[in-house]
Amino acid sequence: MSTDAIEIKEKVKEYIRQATFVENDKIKDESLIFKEGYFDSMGFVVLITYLEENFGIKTSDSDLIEENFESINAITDFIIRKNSN
Amino acid sequence: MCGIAGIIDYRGKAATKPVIEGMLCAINYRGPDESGIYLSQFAALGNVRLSIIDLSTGQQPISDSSGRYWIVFNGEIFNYKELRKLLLDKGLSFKTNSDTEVLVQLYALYGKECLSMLNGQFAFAIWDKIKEEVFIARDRIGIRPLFYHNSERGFSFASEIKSLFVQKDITPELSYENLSQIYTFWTAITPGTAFRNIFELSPGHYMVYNRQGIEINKYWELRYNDGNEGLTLSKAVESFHDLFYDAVKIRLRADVEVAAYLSGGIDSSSTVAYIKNIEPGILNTFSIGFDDSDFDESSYQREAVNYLNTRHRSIICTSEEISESFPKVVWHSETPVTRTAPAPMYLLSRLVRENNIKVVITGEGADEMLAGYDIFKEAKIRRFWAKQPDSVIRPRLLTKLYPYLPQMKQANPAILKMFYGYKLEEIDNPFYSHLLRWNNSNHIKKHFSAEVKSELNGYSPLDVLGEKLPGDFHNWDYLQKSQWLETTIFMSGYLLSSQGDRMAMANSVEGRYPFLDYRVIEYCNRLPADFKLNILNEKYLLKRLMQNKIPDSIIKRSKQAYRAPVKSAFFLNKPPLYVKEMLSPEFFTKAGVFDYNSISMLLQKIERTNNSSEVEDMVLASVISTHILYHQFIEKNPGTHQPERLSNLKIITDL
Repeated sequence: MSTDAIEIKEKVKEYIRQATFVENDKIKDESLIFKEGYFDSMGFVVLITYLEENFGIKTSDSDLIEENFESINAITDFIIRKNSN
Repeated sequence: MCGIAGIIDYRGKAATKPVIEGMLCAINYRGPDESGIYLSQFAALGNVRLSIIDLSTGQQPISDSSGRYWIVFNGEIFNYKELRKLLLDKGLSFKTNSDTEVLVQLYALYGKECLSMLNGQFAFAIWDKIKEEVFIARDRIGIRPLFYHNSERGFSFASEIKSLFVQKDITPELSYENLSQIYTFWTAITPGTAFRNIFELSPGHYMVYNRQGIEINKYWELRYNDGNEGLTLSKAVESFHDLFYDAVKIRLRADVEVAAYLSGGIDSSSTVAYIKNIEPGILNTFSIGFDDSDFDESSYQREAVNYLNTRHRSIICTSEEISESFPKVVWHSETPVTRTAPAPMYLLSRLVRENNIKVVITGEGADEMLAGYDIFKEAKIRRFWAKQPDSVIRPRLLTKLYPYLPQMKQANPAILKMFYGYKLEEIDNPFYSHLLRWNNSNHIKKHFSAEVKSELNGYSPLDVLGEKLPGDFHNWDYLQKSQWLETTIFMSGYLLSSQGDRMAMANSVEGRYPFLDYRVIEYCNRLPADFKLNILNEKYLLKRLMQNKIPDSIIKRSKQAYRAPVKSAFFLNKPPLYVKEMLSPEFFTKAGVFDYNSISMLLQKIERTNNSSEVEDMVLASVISTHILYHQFIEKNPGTHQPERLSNLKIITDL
């Protein structure tokens, strides 16, 4: 994994922890953050807003599918993919 | 809790006993237990008292120990015991055990600086015999009312506007500009009222009136800042608990029984849980339900009652009762109202009084302080949507926000854009969070008469509000801005008045609001936004605090806005006769505010479709309440009403 990817992942992880007030080690990189109830559909609003404001990406409707945001790993991949486009 | 009134007239004509008596009679229900008048060459002050603290010797007016300062006081100073001790330590002595005497002695010693020492809900006036001036102050957030009128003929003040109109030389007249504000914000912007030349003393302000005229100053205001670097949620929950515990505790101070409202939501359940914790004895609680299931929360109320083990009474409010009580609601509100929601509050306080209770603690204020309202979430979703205005997915989140609104159930993207797309992309507008609500209310003004439209040509209530924004408003974050707007305008201007003080005092009942303890307010205003609105989970801190203290189902239930039926109240089930009269062409001509043809078309549409939207309901409530107000205050000047006899009147003549 590149330094960029590690950095992105850490930032995303930290944000999710802060936003959900969940203890540090509870959410793993592969935890399904929506299915496991850390975020509900309303959580989408803050998560996407955070990603757009902090990683300079734009998300269109076609991006807003569960696979892109289901876990910290998925979100990290999504940001890298968007930035490389 | 009381009503107060006074006249200052340097021509030496203030001491007109019948006039001040008449002013007190007009608001006698605010203080049916006893009354008092102070008369001097230039000042006449009066009070009607609802005895709550120091039942035997607390009669007003009261002076300080020197006899220089005379006070009339409406409200409560909850920390009066601590202040009394402070004054005793300084060598002062007291004739009574009342908070009123503490207040006047405190003023005698500290002057206006005493205001920062008060924890309470109050409006009071103090006449200084030596300086021959009156000092008037109102509590920080505007729980207790205070209105005034000033002209070359003299200055007068009172707890309610109708009391001012008792003076023959004050002619009630509607202010079209302020009506325009009311039909936008649901309240006039302070210090305006529905009437020309009648002003309120703004919350957190004091005034001095003397021979030089009026001087008004601010002593407190809402401020928002993150003074809590590194604060953890658990620490915040702990600190909030300590403050809230004390806020409830000092609000239990009374020489009569204190009861509580229990609506089935988290706010009132929290206050009741704290009361039971502090005083585990029997607690009487009260609630209102609706026969219309769209508005009813009775099942949650039952759950809270069982869990918290209170002696509960509730009434089911019907549409007929709402329409029947509506003229009284307007009489007590003294303003047009854009909805019927104050009516159930009036019926609820009547139930309280019928049970011989004078004081209720309620959960008012939690939604403003801890970001409970949907409007905060709605703004967050609209900002999210505004980044991709063409998105069809983003606005769909709004359907989750308002599941109880019928039009949301099957709303497609086009419908959502129609309802929620107003000025979507103006995210830097200072009023962004409230633009949509105010635009909905603005529809009322499309039905204005030609005369009113022409007089208001170019007038913008938003411009007036823009000039009132605090200097650092633009430095605040989105949530802080919307909290300021919601608290200053909607809560202080409308909720605490038309659904608060006025509806409770109409039945001689005093409301007390621990969430509006100024220490709680100041603490909440320093909290990080996430502690209040976490993602889209409102009142997050309170929910964490109340875990295992109230039923989980109440903590987790989705928020239901408090509303009451309109269409069924005024148009179905044989509405009272007055509705027909208030909507007759003659009345439109007389009042001159709305256009008959325009409203007539709306009524025909409602009749034809048997359906009305939220906005149309608002138009109907506004027209009917404006016409009632016109009838009660302009056609029949309240000053001409037969005065009731004042109870146990004490007169102090100091000529």
